[in-house]
Amino acid sequence: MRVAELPGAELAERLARGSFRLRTGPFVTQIGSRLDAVVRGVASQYADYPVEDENAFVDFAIRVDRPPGLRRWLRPQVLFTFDGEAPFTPLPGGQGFPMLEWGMNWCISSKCHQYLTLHAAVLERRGRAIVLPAPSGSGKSTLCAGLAHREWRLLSDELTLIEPASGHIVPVPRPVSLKNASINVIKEFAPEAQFSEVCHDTLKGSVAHCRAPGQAVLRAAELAAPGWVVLPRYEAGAETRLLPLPKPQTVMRLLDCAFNFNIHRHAGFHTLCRLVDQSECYEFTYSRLDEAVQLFAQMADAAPQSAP
Amino acid sequence: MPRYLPSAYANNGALMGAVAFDGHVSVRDWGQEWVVFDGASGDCHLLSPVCGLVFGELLRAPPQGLSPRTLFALAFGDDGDPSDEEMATLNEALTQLQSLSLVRLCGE
Repeated sequence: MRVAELPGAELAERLARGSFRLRTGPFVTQIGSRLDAVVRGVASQYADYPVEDENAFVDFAIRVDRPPGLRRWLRPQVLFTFDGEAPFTPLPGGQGFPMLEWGMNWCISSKCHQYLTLHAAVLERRGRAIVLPAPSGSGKSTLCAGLAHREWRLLSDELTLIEPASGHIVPVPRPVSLKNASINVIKEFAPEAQFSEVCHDTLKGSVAHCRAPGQAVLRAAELAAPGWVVLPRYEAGAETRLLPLPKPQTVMRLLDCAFNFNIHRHAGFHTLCRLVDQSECYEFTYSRLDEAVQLFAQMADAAPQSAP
Repeated sequence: MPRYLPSAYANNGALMGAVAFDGHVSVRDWGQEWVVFDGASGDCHLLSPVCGLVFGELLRAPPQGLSPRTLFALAFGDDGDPSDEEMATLNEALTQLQSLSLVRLCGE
């Protein structure tokens, strides 16, 4: 059953009870919340995702709710809990859905060490994955959302999961988090994109989530082989520029983006070296999304197709 | 005459993921530059071509280590007498590798 097939009242009831189990890629998350904004966000952003049986194995059990006490009436807040513990301080009351998203990212990046996890967007076309590692504010998510709406399959906007044994990339497609001016850039670039409500005044400014295209969700079990590592940087007014990056330097840059290299150590080192060996590596500067998307399409179409 | 050794020996990656190699280094060279993961410190280092060549020879060094002169001959394939400038370059590389704790003087 998909989320869209669950009647609205039942979705709200399961969320309130904390028995709603959502599959995203290889993970099942048990989500609880009594917040209307979270119910609306889940209904709109996860409509295409499988709902797991209430007895299914759960990787993460989380809730986003108002914290207890008087404060809930005076200055409402939202609190994320994982297995009943609160790893973060509460956020202002209107940020329930973004907090759910950030909390789900945290679950994967801090708990799932069967993968080497990079802070990087990743998409696939013709069997080859493009990894886009970059810090916040680099234009990574804008580029990712643009590509995801132009024939690239979204594997993840935030977390690149690499299987150390095979070197393959494991999809965990979820909504793309867009900030500030990027929200309108994508609304204009891809009018068909479906957005969550915009949350203003978050730590990152105004934030909205853009639903993962249905194909990405349908094909979430299909792993991808690495094809490119591209370090993007948005620079207002800049020409579109793709420059080769030497492989040793690419490894060093990827290390800066690895969440759990300290756990994988030597195996993680060899995994990163293999990723770089199998990829063409570039630094990329852009200011015009349409040019960027066109360039990557040409690059992908010129490359040999990788066997599934 | 000082003699040098690597601080730890190389993990060739054949058993990656199977056991911990915390006392070892993992190395990868792409012809010019080298990247080294030092299991003892948990740090990764990008080595210049000269440092990479020198370090690569030291990883194959006998237990008694290598003198700078022998190291020069092995790393650069030059049996002749190194010039002062060449020895300065070699010593600079050794100093750099020592500062990264990748190389030590024998007896240290």
